[in-house]
Amino acid sequence: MESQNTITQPTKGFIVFKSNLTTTSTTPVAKNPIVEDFKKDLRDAEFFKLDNKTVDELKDFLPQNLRGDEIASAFHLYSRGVKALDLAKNAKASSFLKEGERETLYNTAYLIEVLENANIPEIPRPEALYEANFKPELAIYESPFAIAPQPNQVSFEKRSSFLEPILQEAQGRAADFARDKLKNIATKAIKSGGEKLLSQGSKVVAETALKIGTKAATTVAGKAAGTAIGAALGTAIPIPILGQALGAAVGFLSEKLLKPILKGIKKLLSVVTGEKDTRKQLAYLGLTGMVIGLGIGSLPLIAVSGAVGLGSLALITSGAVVATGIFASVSAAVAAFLSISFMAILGPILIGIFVVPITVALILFIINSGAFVTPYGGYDIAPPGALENLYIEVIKEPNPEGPFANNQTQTITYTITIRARQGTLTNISFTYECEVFADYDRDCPTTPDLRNIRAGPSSQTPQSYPTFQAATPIIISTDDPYVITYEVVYRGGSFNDSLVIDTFIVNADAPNAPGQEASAAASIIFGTPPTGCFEVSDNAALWPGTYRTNMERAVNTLVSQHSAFAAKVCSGGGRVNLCYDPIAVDAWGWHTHDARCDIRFDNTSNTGVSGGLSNPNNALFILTHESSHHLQFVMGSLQVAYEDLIGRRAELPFCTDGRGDNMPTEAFAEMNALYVQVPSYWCGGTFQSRYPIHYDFAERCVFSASPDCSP
Amino acid sequence: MINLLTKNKFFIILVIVLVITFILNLFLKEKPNDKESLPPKSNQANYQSLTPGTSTKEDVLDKLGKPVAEEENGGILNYSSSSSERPHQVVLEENNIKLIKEIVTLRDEKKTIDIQNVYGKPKNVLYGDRSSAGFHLFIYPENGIAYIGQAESGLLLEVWYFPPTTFELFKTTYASEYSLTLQQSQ
Repeated sequence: MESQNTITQPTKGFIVFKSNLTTTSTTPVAKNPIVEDFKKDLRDAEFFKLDNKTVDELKDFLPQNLRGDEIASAFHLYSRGVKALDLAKNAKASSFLKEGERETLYNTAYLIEVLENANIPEIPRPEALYEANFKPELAIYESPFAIAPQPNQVSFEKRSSFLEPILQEAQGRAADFARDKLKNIATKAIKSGGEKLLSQGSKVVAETALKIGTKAATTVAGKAAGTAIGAALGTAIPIPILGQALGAAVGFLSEKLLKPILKGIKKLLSVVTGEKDTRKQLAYLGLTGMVIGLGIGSLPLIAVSGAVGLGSLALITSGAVVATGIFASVSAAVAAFLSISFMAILGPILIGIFVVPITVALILFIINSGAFVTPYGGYDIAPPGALENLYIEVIKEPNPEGPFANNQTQTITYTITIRARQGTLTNISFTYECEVFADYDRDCPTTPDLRNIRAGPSSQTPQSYPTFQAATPIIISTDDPYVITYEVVYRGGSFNDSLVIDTFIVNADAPNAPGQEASAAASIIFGTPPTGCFEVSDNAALWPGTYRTNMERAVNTLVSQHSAFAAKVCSGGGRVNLCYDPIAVDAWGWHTHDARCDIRFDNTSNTGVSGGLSNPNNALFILTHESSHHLQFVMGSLQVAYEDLIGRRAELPFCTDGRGDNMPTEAFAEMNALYVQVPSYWCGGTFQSRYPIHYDFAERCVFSASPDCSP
Repeated sequence: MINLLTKNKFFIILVIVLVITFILNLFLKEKPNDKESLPPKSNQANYQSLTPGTSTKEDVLDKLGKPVAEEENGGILNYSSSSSERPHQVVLEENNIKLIKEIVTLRDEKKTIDIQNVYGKPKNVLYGDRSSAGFHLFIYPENGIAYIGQAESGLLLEVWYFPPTTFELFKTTYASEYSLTLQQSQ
C-alpha cells in the first residue's frame, strides 16, 4: 500500500475512527478474560479475511455489496467498544464521505450489529466491550495521515469508491493461529447473529436501507454476463464481487467488443491447429502454453495454460460444452499440475497430510493445557478487581480534596477503609507515612496538627485513639470493614507550592497467606508544586487513587531532583499529559507523543513484572523512561550523540531490557530511567558500577544543566 | 489423448518448443539485480563518486581504500566514519555495490535539508526501531537515496545509497524490517 505511505500528497486522505473515552468511573475496569482473548487475537492477527467459498455460504446474512475487508474492520471497531447504530448514524451524518465510502461503513456497521447479536462464547457481549473501553464515544474524521491501529482508533484509506482499513496481515505462527481462530469465530458469528437479525430485524438496515442477503441475485446477474468471458479465457473472473451495474457493463462489452475478437481468435486457431472444434483448439493452445511455461519455469503460465488445455481435454471426453466447463477446467489444471510435478511435491504433500495435523494437534493440546494450569493473566497479574493485594484492600480518601491556594490554613479529614478480601485478617499492624514535595524542606504535620484519630468496624460507632498504633484492631473480618478517620491541619504559608503525600500501610496475616501488605496514599496540592510541564491527566481513564499519588510523587521527584532533565523534556513547549490507559499499554508505559496523552501508563505488564504504578520507585522509573522518549523528539541531538558514545555497545544490553543495541532509542530511555531510579526487578549493584559509560554520559549530557555530549 | 498424439504431430512440435524455450531461458534469464532496479537516472545519488548498481568492489577499494573491517566473507565492507561506534558500510552483491550506508554524526553538520535541496521532499517514509524517537526512514526510490532522520530537527543518522528502484522493491530488498505504519514500542 504505497499510497498510504506517500507523504507528499497528504490530501489523499484517510478516515479515522476514534472512540473518545467518557468514563466517570473512579476504579479501573476489571479485565474480562473473553474481552482480553478477543482483543489479543485481533492484535496478533490484525487483518483477516474469509475465503470466497465461506462468504458465498454466508451470503444470505451479509450485505449485498460486501467487499470482504469490512469483516476485519467490524471486528476491530467492535473490540474498541463501537456500537453498530452509532457507526451507522455517524457515517450517515458525515458529509465528507462519498457514497461508496459511506456504503463501506454501513456494511461495517451491519457486521458489528451481527456481532452484537451473535450468541457464541468467543464473542464478548457489547456491554462488556463498551465498559472495558471506558464507554467510548465514536468520532469519524478525515486525516491526511494514517497510523497503525491504536487502542482507541482505526484508520481507513480513501480509495476511489470505498474505504480500505489500514490493517496489515501480521506474520508468524501466533498470527496464523489467531487468524484461523478469528475466521472460525467470524463464520459462526455471522451465522448466529445474521439469523437473529433476519428474524427480528436490523436497526442498521432500518437506519441505512442497506440491502442484506440479496447478493445472490446480484451474483447471478453478474455471472450471467461474465461467464462466457471467464470460460473463454480459461480463468476465473471475480464476477461475484461486481455489482449489478458492472455486471451489465461486462455483458455489454462481451457482446459488442469481445465477441468479434474471440471469433477472430477462433479462426486463427483453426488455421494453426487444423481443428474446427473449439475445445480441441483450446487444448492445443493450452498445452502449448503449458509447455512454454515449463520451459521458462513460469508457474502461473503452467497453471493457467494447464487449466485451459487439460480442462478442454476433459470436456472433449465428457462432451460438455465449454460455457459450463470452467470448474472442470480448473480441476483438470490442478490434476495436470500435480501430475507434472508429482515427484517433486510428493514430500510436501506427505508432510501436509501427516506432519501438519499432528503438529497442530500438539500445539492445540499445549495451548489448551496451558489455559487450565496458568493463573488468569499469568503468574504475575492479580485477578480482575485486585489492584495491589489479593487479601487486603485499603482505600484512602481526603476531604476536601483540593487543590488549595497558598497561605491558607486547611483542615483535611482523611478516611481509610480496610477490607479483608478473602478471609479474616489477623496479626494486624499500621504504619503511617507522610512526605512533602517542594523546593524547600518541610516535614508533615504531627500532633497536635494530626488529631482526632477515630476508628472501628464500620458496623459500630468509632472510638477515639491517641495514635494509629493504639487504633490497631485484633481482627478485620470480611463482612465488616475497618474504618479509620483523622484530621490534619496544614498551617497557612507552611506548605505553599507543595505536594503532600500521605500514605497508610497495613500489614496483616490472611488465612493461608501470612505477611501480607497493602497501602493507600492520598495527595494534597497547595499552590503550584514543581511539576514542570507534566500533568497527571484523566484524558484517557481516571487515575486510581494510589496510582495517581505515585505518579504525582514521581513527577515531583523528577522535576525537583533532576531539574535539568525536566527542563529539557519541557523545552518542546506545551504540557506533557500523563494518562492512565491500561487498555493501550502493554507494559507499564508508552510514549505516544500526542497532545491529549503524551505518555500512557499501566500498572501491569503483558510480558514481564507488574507493579509499574503501585510501587512509587517503579513509577519514577517508568516516568523517566517514557519522558526520555519525549526528550528524543524535542532534542533529537541527544539521541544522535548517544548513538556515537564510545563504548556504549559493549555495555549493552541492560539487565532490565534485553533489547540491547538493536534499539538504541530504547537503550537511551532505559539509561536515563536507570540513572534516576532502578526498578524493583533490578539486577543488583548500582547503575554506576554496572554501566559506568552510560552513567557518565547520562550525568554529563542528559542530566546536566551544562551538557557535555561528546562521545 | 493418445489419439490426439498420433493423429497430429502437434506434440512433437511442442517438445521442440519446450527444448528451445528451456535453452533460451537459461541464456536470456534476467539477473535478479535487473528486476530490482530501474534504469539509472541522471540524478541518481552517489557516494564519493561510487554509484550503486554500476560501481564494482574494485571501484570501492580504489576510491575508499582498504576497509577497516569486512563482514559476511567480504560481502560487507566497513569504513571508518566520524563515529567510532558506527562505521560506513558498503554492501556488495556479485561484485557490484548493492547498498551504501553513510553514517552521519553531529560533527558532520549534514542535515535533511541538504538532501531535500537536491531531491525535493521525500516521496515515501517507513517506520522502524528508531521511530519511537521520531527518526524515520525517508526514501527517494527513483533517485536511489534514503535517509534516517528526524523531521522536527532535521537531524540525520544515516544516508543510504542504492540503485534506483520502486518503493515496493526498496521495501523488500533494503528495508524488510521497516513498516508502513508506526508500531508500538514501549
